[in-house]
Amino acid sequence: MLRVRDGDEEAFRQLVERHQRAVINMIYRSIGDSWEAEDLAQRVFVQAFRSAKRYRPTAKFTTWLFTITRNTILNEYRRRSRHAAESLDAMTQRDDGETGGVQFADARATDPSQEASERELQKHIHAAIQGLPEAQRTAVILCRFEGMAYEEIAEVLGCSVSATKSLLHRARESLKEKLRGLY
Amino acid sequence: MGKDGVEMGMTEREHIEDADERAAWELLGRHQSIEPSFGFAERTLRRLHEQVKPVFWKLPVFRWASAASLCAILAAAGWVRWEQARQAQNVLVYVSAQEDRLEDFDVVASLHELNGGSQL
Repeated sequence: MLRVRDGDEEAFRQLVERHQRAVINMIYRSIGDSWEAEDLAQRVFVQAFRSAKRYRPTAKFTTWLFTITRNTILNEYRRRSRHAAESLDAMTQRDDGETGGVQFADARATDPSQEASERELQKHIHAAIQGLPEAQRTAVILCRFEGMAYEEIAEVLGCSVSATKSLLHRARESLKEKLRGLY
Repeated sequence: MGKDGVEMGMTEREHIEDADERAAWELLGRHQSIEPSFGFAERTLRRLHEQVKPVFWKLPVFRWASAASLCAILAAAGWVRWEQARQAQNVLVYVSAQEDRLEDFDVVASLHELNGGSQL
């Protein structure tokens, strides 16, 4: 990151390659649109490069990067709420069970019925995550999928550790209700 | 361990006492991840080049300044041209007036001569 701060583009490329999957997936799980996840992820990295001079090595890099990612996602929510109808049309067209050319990390299911039930399960989990309020959703994504500590999540969310624990507790209760019958 | 390979940490496991909550939390880990498309890093770098170094003549201030300068130059050129045309017109009017006066003088002189006057 220190090299990136000095404008080293090769270092920036390495940084993108190292963190691209995490950033793309955080956005994908937050906005539920695989098409836009990559576009927004690019914006996150460009923003990170531009803000590199403000980065202090005292903060953990992933925490800083996920803070930028969260802000980008919040901006996207605002943009979508301003153009609600437009976005809904786009999402309806894209969410017809297609992934829009984006590859899933795992494609082991080969049996058609197994594949169908797996797709159904994915849809339910996706809907359950999407149904959470923004702060709870971000906390869940960072905790469950990125394995971040409560302190780091609190830093990304800009709240206290106890507030983060409370958010996660409420999120788990909500997910339990939404996913009932699937586990 | 979830299908996606997201394993629940021991500290989390200790905090989730409710069995249903734990099961739901485990199930959540099966949510599939997406893979970045080929060349994502290159495209990001390209985007960075497009956005980080804005060409100075594309800056809004510069665009406004050039438009304002162009307007000022055009206005000044127009004014100079109009002033030149006005001066040329003035000269023509002056010359024409002078010619008229000389003509009038000749007419008066001829008339006087015809009348046999000696006052001129």
